Order: sequence, then structure tokens, then C-alpha cells
Amino acid sequence: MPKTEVLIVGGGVTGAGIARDLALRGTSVMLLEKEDFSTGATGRSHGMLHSGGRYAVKDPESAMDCAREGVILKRIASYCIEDTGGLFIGIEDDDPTYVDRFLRGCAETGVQAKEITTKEALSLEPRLSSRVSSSVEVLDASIDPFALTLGNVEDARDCGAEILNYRVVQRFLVQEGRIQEVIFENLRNGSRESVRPEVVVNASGAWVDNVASLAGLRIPMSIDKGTLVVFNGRLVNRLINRLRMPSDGDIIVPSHSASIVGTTSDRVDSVEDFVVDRSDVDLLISEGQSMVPDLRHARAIRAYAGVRPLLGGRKEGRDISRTYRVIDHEEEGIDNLVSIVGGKLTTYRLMAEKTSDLIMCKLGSAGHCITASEPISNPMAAKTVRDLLAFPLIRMNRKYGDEQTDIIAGCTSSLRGKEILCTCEEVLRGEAEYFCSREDVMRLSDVMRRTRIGMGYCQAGLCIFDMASVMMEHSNQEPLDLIGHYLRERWKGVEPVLFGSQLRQEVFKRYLYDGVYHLESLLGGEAR
Amino acid sequence: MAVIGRATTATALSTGCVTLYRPPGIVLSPLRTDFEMLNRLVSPFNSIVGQEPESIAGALNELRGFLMPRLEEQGLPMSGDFNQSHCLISNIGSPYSCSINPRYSENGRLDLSERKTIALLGFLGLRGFDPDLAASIFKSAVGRRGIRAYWTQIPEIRERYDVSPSEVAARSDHSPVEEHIGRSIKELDEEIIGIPPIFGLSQYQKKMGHLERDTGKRIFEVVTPLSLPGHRLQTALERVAAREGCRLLKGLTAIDMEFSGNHASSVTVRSRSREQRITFSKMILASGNLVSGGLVTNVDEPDQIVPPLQADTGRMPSTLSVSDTSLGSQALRSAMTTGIRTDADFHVVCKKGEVLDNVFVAGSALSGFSLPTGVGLGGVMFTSWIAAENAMEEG
Repeated sequence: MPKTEVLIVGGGVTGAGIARDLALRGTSVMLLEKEDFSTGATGRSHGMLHSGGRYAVKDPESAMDCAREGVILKRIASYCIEDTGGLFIGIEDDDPTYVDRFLRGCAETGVQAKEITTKEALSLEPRLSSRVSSSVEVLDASIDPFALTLGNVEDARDCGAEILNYRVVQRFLVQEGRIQEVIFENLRNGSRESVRPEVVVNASGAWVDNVASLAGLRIPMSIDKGTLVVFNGRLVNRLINRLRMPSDGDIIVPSHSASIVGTTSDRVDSVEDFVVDRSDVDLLISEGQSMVPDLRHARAIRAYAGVRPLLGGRKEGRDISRTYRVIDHEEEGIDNLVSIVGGKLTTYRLMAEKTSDLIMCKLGSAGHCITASEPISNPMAAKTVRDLLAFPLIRMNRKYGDEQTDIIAGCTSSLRGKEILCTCEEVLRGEAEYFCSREDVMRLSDVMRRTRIGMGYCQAGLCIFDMASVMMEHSNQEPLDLIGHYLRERWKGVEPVLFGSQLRQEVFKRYLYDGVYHLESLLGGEAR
Repeated sequence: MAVIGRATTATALSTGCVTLYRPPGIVLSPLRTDFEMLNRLVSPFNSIVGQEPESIAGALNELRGFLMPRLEEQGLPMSGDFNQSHCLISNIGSPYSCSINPRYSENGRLDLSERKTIALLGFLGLRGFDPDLAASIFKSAVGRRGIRAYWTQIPEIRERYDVSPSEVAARSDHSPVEEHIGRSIKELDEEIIGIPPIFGLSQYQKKMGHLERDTGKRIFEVVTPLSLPGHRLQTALERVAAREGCRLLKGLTAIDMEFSGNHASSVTVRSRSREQRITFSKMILASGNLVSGGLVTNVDEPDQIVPPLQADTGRMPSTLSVSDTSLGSQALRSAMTTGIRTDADFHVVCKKGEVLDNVFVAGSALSGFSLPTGVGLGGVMFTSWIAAENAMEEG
């Protein structure tokens, strides 16, 4: 039976970060993820690299962590970060005393912030409401959570870690107060496999309680659902936050070809509750409009919801600290299980460092954390490309970091590699081919997370067939199954925003799918 | 008689297959013509038009009799699997076309139940058709094995990638592209060969004929969305209309209609440079739905683009087996079935409820007549035929 020093359960950014951290310290690591990487809270976040400003008043501990980690991530993960800067803006009706509390909070927590005049703010962001009454500049940035997670995954692999997706942990065999063996199912072929770890890390985010229960333990968690709406195009240049206590619909993040408006906060009972309510979408649009009135005319292309795993059971969503905790379950009778709960995308590296420190203790190994200084991917290579080459390559660099060299080679080596599959996001066939040929990718949405194919305003209206055609070359799956699965997934995000231009887009897609391709009959009425 | 058009039509974006009945799901065997099935096939029209099956059958037959020779004259021969004794069913797809969906293959020429071998041939660099994918869909949908996929390269697109079929068509009219394709086809062992559509209307019949003669094989086009067959049909129909003495005014958007009481007198149209008023004695609105631009989205629901009219949401042909799951949600379903409100004789109904006696609605501008709800080109042409007859009869 295979052995590993550390088994990590969960392939979000935290799990991937721990894998990279430990692998860089020379530890043998295996990671199991039940779906694709970053399909939980990681991929369903804003993609916001916090300066700490959002927590400066209410949650100083998180603010300090964010301030420090933001600087570190801009250094080590520059490929997937767009350093847009951020702006906190107060609107006429907002509490006028908040500005001072905010600035004081920032000063106390080490968050860089500078108040600017309304005129300056409007020159930086012409689409802002004319009712802006106060503005503070901060160092927020836009980060691609998929690219960040995959960068950690690839780096960990380069250091010998075994990182596996579509592996569902089913049982922990516990004997003498230790997890002796972990049994998991390989979703690719349905087989059951097992591994003997020395230490198990539960980094399963919102599912942390479910995984702990496999060892007979409970971790009281609060599951908080946040809804976000993606708008076509960039409505703002930098991240816009409302200068008030964090509330609904007060963040706008420019991200790739889109703007993401969020978020709501609702307590939910199930970690699988990703359903978006139309009322949440309406709330986000109306709140977002008070900061950027043009949002009313912007085209909402999809909505999504993520479940935040928050520490503690009693308080309601926004009152719960966004900080994290590393739990050693030794006191509860399981010597070799560690859980990491709570936290934020921005602080994932710190969480990984603290978790890894405890694990190294448990293993009795030496080895220091180097992730605060060791860049993910090679920034020199990225710099050369940026200096020398044209826009598509810069784009590829931002998506793929170090991997871009192989991907570009694939795109240019054949005639078909240069075909543009997704015109919304300018994704070449070679990019899709590169990822389809890899073990990680099983479904069309996996290709999407890696290349952004199908993420544009048409939501894979035309390229879905091209995606299926590329996938077929590397997989035995029926293309209609792939297409059906993907459409069902996408539909969840499109249905809540069926109005205006997107309604027309969807009607046009039905014209193609049902009227021309007859996918309805081919998929047995399950296209939607 | 004049036709006013704004931009690309949904017809031009379609597969170009005109089906004057709706087959129940995928039918691959030669049509059985029992009466129960006939009733089912005709009933979508019946329930909407409010006419007896016999008169619908007559009208369908008249429409077919009108269209087929005229389209053929324009270089677009339509073939079909007819049953003259009932005259209710005519499936007139173009003889060289079928879809990657086997449902369109049943046009009499390409009988997949034959024990003939089939190959699909793709052209490297040409958008929209992947023979591997098409073969795979064929296999899983038809359950037929042994449809093989091949790739070839033609000189017109050798140095490029991402070429659209219409670009190839533009060049193939002046180059010996079919010789290259012919050579590639001859190398294949299979007897029936599917290729992507690359010939425009003017060369279509001639070059497809050459290919068949030179290779000794049956050649058909695999119809893909947004490609040439729809364009060819649109072009051919426009030429038929012109030939029949109709003026075609393109690039005009109807923005308002003037009427008093139950009678409309003129419509205001806008081109890029100016507005003008066109007076008429009868008007048929065939302005399409959300897909083709006859309707606009008005925040939460579709609305009519010509102001005084009423939108009619959600008339679903009662007999169409469109399940809830397949059309997604109420919002999408009602958007897709929305059209312009009419009375039973296709007279348009205005916002305040007036029925205009000289303005008729036809085609997918009618509520419920949209391709995704299962009413294809045949259905919308049929309503045009009826609307035109109503307009003529009412003198």
C-alpha cells in the first residue's frame, strides 16, 4: 500500500498552498480533491486580493494578516495578480463618521490608506456616482483564484508532491488514536484506493466538518453563502469598496474581461447550496448601482454563489471573524489529524505556513517555510515575455505563469493549435489541447477553469462544441455527455440573470442548441 | 409589393432545411404514413391556425408546389420524401445537405439505414465542422457504427487558420477547389462522404454535382450552425421574391406605425442616414422574434420593436412535446415563445386592443413560432402562406 508523510484532503487554494509549502520543505505529500481544484469557496470568490481595508474597523486581526500577505502575494504570485489598486468610497447617505474610523483602523493595522478628494476619485474612476462624498485609496488588487491554485499545484508537483483531483475520501481507518489508512474513490474509473499517511490535513473548506466526522470528530462551522454577479466588460479600473461597515453589494472587482459585483451573506444549512436566488441578484445590482450607476445598463452574464466556511457557530455571517484557526485534534484523541478552518483567499499562504509548521512538528522534521520569498513560477521568464511579446502572450502569461512556454509551443506547432476556439476570451485551440491532454482534466468545466474558455458573455454558446471536439482526442467519454454536463453546470449561473441582453443571448443559444443541433433530443431532454 | 429587411435573418443563420412537418423525435426509417401520425404531425399548425387538417394539407401542398420549382430555378433544388396520396407531408431539404444531427439526414437522399459506409471529411483550418465530433454524435445518436472521420487540407486555407465557410465560398467560386476535395475523397474507401458546406448558391449545384460525378460517390453537406445552407436558402428566396416582382428594401428598421381606428396607413422606417414613411394598403409583419431582432428585450421581458403593437408572451404550441426541463425556466420559455399579439386570422393587435384589419403577422414573429420550440422554417413559411392568403382574400 502506498505511503505518504502527509495526506491533504481538499484541493482549494489552502490545500494546494499547504502541499506546496510542505513539498518545498522536502516532505512527501499527497493531496486528494473530490472534484476539480478550486471548485469550492476558492473558485467562487471575488478574486480579490485584500489590502486589509475591508476588515480594518471590524476585524483588525484579519486586516493585519491581509495587509502583510497582500504584499507577499504580489511578489510571489505576480503572474496571476493584476495590481489594480483599490478605492473605498462613501456615498452621501453613508455614515460620515466612518471615514475617520476607517482611516484610524487602517493606521492601527498597518493597512496603507490615503484619503483623496472626490474630484480625484472621479478622475480615477469616471463611472463613479456623482453622490460620492469621501474616497480612500488602498492597495487592493484583482487575483485569479484558479491560476493561483493551479500555480501552487504545479509547483508542489515539481517538488515531488502527488496532487490528485476527482478523488473522494470515503473512510479513515482509525486505530490507537491515529488515522492509519485513508480509503478513497477514484472518480475516473470508480476504483477504490488507499494510502497510509503519517499525518492527515483536513483542508476541505466548507466541507471540513464532513471530513472530520470520518474520524468521529466535529468541527462547529457556520456555512455562509455569498452570491456574486458577473458583468460583461470592465466597468471600473480598480477594486471599488463601499466606505461603510461591510454589507451586501459593496464590492466591484475588475477581473479579466469582466466585472464581478458582490456579495451577499446568508446563513445556509448545506454546503452544497450553490443555488442563486434572483432576489440576491436584484439586491446586488441595486446596491452596486449606488456606487456605479452604469451598472444598471451593464450586461449581467452570470451569477454564482459560494459557501464560505466560517469559524464559530452562533454569530451571523458578517459578524463572524474572517480569521482562521489551525486545529490539532490530538486533544480530541486523534494524534495525526490537523484541520485548517476559516480564513481568506488573501491569507491562504499564511494559513498554509502555520498549518505546515504544526505538521513539521508532528513529523519531528526540520525544514523552514520558504513560501513567503519563493515565487510561484519563474517571474524572470514572465518578465522576458512581457518585454518582448505581444498581447496574446501577456494574456497567456497572466493565465498560466511558467506553464505558458509549453502552451505557446502547442499553439504554434500546428495549424489547428492557432484556431481561436473561444472568441469572447480569445482562447486558442492549443491552450485547450494542452490541458485536455493532462491527467487532471476530466470535464469541460475543468478546461474552462484553466483557460477561461467559455467564461465570456456568450457562456460557451459556440465554443462548447469545439471544447468537446478537443476533449474527445484525449478522452473516451461521449461528447454528448460532456456537453450535457457542462450545460447543466453553466445553466445554474445563467438562469438568475435572464434579463436584458443575456436573455436574448440565451434565446439565441437555444436557437442553436435546440433548433439547429437538436441537443434537446440528443441529450434526452437534459440539456437544461 | 415590397419587402423591408433590417439585417441578417434567422433564416440565414439556420440549417436551411425546410420541413413541412415535425417529425416526432429522431426518425431514421423511411416515413410511415399512418393517419395517427399524420394527425400528430399536422396538429401544431392545426391548433394555431384553427383550420381543419384537410385545408391545412391543401395549403401545405400549395406552398410546396409554389416553392420547389422556383427555388430550383434559382439553383437550390429541394428534395424530399413525399407521399403524394396524402400530400400532407413534405420534407424538402436540399439534396446535398444534412446535419450533424441525424434528424436532418432523413431527406430521401441519404438513407442511413442502407448498409453503405459513410465517412465525414473535415478541412483543416475551416471553422465550424469537426468530423470527429460529428461522427461521434452520429454514432451515439443513431447507434450506427463505422462512420469514420478524416481530415484534409485544401489550398484555399492552407496557410491560414480559423477560416469561415463563407470566406472559402467566396474564393471557391473562382478556384478549382473541388478538384482538391475530389482527390481527397477518391482516396477514401467509404461510399457516402460528408463534407462541410463551402459552396455559395451560384456554384452549389454545379460543384456538388461535379464532385459526385468525378468521385463516383454520394456527397452530402454536413449542416453546421451559422453556415452556408441557411444563407443559400435566404438568397434563393430573395431572388424568387424579386423575380415575382417584389421590391427588396434592405437595411431598414421599422420604428413606428401610423393608424387610425382599425386601419393602418403607413410605417416609418429608418435607415442609417434617414427616416422615411412608407404607405401601404396591406402589411405583413414577418419581423421575427428575439433571435432575429423583431423583438427587443425590455429589461425583464421581450417587447415589440414597433411601438403601437402588443407583445404576446408564452403561447406554446399545445401539441409540441417540449418538456419543462428542455427549455430551462419560465423566463427563457416565455422569452422564446413571445411574439406579436394577433387574432385568430393573424391580424395584429395594438397596445390598446384595436385589431388592425390590414396588418398581419407571420412567421416567427407569431407567438410560439420559434425554432427552439420545435417550429422550423417549414412552420414559419406555412404561416406566411396563410397570412398572405388572408391578406389577399380580404381584398
